[in-house]
Amino acid sequence: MKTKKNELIMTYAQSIGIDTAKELITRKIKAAALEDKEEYCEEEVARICGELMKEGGLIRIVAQTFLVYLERKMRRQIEKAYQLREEFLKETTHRIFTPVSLIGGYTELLLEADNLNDDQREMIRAIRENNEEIQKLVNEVLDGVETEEKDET
Amino acid sequence: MVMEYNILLVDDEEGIHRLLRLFLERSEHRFNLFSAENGKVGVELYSKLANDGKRPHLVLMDLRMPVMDGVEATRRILKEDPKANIYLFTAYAKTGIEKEAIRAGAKGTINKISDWKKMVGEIIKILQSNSKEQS
Repeated sequence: MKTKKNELIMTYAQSIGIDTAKELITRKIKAAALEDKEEYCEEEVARICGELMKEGGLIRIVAQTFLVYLERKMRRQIEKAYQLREEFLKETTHRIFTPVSLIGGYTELLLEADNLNDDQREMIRAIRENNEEIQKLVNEVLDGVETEEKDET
Repeated sequence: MVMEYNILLVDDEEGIHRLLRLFLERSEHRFNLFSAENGKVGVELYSKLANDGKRPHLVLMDLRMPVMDGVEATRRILKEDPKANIYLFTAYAKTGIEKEAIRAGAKGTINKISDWKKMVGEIIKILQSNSKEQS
């Protein structure tokens, strides 16, 4: 016969008395220097668990399991946030290429005109050189992102 | 010798179509540039052109496009016409989706961010070597 973990916890809580369990948690909340309130964030729950770990027996095991679960959940959230940031970075950099390419092409055409004076030619060259700088930067960013991706797979 | 070529440009950025037309007009050769704004339109236009006796000598295929991307469009065009001359037209050729498109049968990559005059030179070279192959 198998017993669900939840049942095990409930049974244990009942055996020591629901009130006892409630009292225990309340005590631990106080020990963790937290307020008595309706909701606790993950970091606070982890602190409560830390206090529970100081107990012996099943309470310690339950608290330990719960801490592991919390840690995994947090890691997944961090990974997800990292992935989103990466996708955003990639999408944005890829989109910068089109305007950069167009500015490059049009300055190329402009520089072919024969009615430009020296100042104008110099200014267009400056636009062109700076545009190439942007292109280099975007390439570097993408090289970084794409390599990171390769390393992961 | 002045040649006449049909090019199909599949790209969702209108500015790229306009600028490529400007550069092609300056060439000694004659170009008929056909435009499609996404992969789906590109596939349809390719088969329409082929049926009208205007089979593109070269397809320039962007990769990131709405509705249908360049990989899928490359696959579909090659399914209809295994001899289609498709080149990727992309700004950054080191991502996985470029590799996927090459596996799908695209012959190579033309970098659309480099020097435009050089790029048109590259396009003409591809067209010339391809017409030699065909004859």
